[in-house]
Amino acid sequence: MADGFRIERISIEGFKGFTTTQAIDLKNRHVFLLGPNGKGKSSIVEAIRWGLFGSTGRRNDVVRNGSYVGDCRVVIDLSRDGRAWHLTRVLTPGSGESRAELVDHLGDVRNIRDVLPQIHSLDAGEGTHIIFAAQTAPLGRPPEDLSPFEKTVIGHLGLTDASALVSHLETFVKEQEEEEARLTRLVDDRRDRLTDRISQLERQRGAILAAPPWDGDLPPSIAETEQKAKGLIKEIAPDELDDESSALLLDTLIDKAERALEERIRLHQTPFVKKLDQLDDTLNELATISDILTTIGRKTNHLLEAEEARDRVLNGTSLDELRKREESQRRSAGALALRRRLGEVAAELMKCNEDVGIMSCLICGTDHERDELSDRISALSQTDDEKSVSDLRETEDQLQAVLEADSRVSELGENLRACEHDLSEVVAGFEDEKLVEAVSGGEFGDYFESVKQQRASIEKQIHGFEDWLKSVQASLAKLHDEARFQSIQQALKSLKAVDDEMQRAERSFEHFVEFGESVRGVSDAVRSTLTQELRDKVPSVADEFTTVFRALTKNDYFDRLVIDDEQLPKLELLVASSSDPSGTLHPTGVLNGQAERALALVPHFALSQAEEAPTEVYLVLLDDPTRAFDREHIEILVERLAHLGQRVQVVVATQETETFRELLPKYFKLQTYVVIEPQDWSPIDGPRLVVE
Amino acid sequence: MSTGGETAFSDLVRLGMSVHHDRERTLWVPLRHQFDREGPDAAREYLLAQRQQLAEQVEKQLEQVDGRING
Repeated sequence: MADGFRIERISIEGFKGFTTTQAIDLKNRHVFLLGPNGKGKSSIVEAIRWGLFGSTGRRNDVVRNGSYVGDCRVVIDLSRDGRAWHLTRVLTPGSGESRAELVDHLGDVRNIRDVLPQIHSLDAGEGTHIIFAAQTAPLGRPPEDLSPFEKTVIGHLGLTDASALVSHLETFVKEQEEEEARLTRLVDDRRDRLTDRISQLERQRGAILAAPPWDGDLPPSIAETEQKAKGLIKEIAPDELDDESSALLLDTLIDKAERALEERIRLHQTPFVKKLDQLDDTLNELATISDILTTIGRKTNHLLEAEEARDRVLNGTSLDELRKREESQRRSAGALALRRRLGEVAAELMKCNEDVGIMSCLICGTDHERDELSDRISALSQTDDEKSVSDLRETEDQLQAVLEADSRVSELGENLRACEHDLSEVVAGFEDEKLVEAVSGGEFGDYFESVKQQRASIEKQIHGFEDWLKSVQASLAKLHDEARFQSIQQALKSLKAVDDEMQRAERSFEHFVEFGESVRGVSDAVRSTLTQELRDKVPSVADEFTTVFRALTKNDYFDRLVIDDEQLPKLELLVASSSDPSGTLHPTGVLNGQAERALALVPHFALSQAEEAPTEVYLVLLDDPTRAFDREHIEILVERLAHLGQRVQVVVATQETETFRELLPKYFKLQTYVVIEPQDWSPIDGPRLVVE
Repeated sequence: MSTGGETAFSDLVRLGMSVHHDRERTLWVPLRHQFDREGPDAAREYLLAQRQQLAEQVEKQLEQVDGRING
């Protein structure tokens, strides 16, 4: 395995506060970035990280200078075995993802994945970063971000893959349980639906079996039901049962029978009913004619009776003769009455004359014999007209009776003619000549009766057809029930196959569950093995930690570091005191700021010194490692860094400018490091780097 | 990527399984192969593929049942 790369030069453009390109020549030296916050020290550390990993390790970190129009670009010139390589990472404006290019010492572009697989496969972590950390796998092992304590130790112990496997398995088991729950719901749902469907069909079959449509105890076979259907078709429409019918399915046969029945009804029943309706209409009209004829007969009788009554009143004479006689009698009676009146007047006049002495004729003045005159006048006044009047009265009464009888005859005659007119109009509405002839020929009754017989005959035929139809329909209904039974039987048979399929699905699901149980078993075994491995190895790691921690903290009260055995395979770092071996505490809130900061550095120093394995890039990036350190501990740190720097390239950013300036010459040879102090940042020029 | 340490680990796992059911050891054989040769992610992918295959088998058979229940 070849040695790892070391950094010769860094060029930064458009990265964070940087604008135009600024270069830092490291020449394989250590770099100490000194100065107060806000001057760009951390940006240089981040630029190296971003150049290597494509990430600064900070979430949602915006790396490109938004006010700078050019690209965001970091070029890291690397050297390995005295040969220069160039790693360039660029983020163009508008692009969401950076692209990197690695050019080898011959100027050929090389696949980063092949040359730097560790760096390529992992994002940078935030904070302190040691790239050269423990490497036990020669290929594919990601460079460890040693900031998280647990990952650091796991990586150091060469159990990264094992730990990842445990994590994967535990996640997988959790997902497996969710998947099992989901599939359980699916399987149960299908099983319930299948059971419900079978129950439903069995209930329907039970209802048919409770009142079977077939004769006998045993249900017919499908072939038998089909035979019944063919028999029914043959009964309804024999011509419909052709050779093709023998191959038809049961439902099709029943459809065919129904259609044949509909056709039979259309061809046979409908015309009969229509004819019956026509005959009913005819009979209604014939009844009307019959009523008219009856009325005519009655009125004719009444007319004859009236004429006979009139003839009886006429008593052998005629109306004209009777009128003449009445006229004659009337005149005779008038003359007699006038004669008698004349006698009475003459008698009164003669008496008046006699009173005055006149004895002559009252009319002619001739003198007559008085007695003779008196007799003659008396004779006039005594004229007998009573018989004449009586005869006249009798004649008048007879005439009146005759006139009344004649009026009655006329009236009845009018009525009779009106009825005969009605009859002629009704008859004229018929097109049947036989009816006209029958009416005119007086044979209406026979005709009426023949129509009634015709209707009765058709009605009988209709009743016969209806009886047949009821019988066929009943057979068809039974056939339907049989067909439904056969359909249910087939559906149940089919569902039996579905049930077999369901059982196969349930067995597959059991295999799925068994698979999950196997994974759980494997997960337990892997976890158990990892726990045991850690239990064996962790104590020595804790001892190494304690050694470094003591060196960095100069034996504070808490001078021991312990990895909690109870939490394995989870690693939890606790602090303890040699003066109280039984007590362990979580470091948060227990240690002072300097000790907390030192604790963060412990794994890096402890584990990096423990490993000699080669890696891709020998580099330690420390951003502000001395926060909360007093001078004494800063010196301890610088001393440790100098020791570390014998093997790796160190890049440190710190605010402790004066202390570092004082200590660096003491622990580092002058030609092995470079101090950079960023000055006066401006939006246009970015940080101004003063390289010493 | 198998190394002495990791191979030893998978051997230890296998030994840890010796008291368990054969089914787990059967699963561990191909899983260990993936783990030793290609790492934990490959082992996870192997398990995911196995689970997907088994789940699809169940779902496919249930779909057939589903289509025929009312058919």
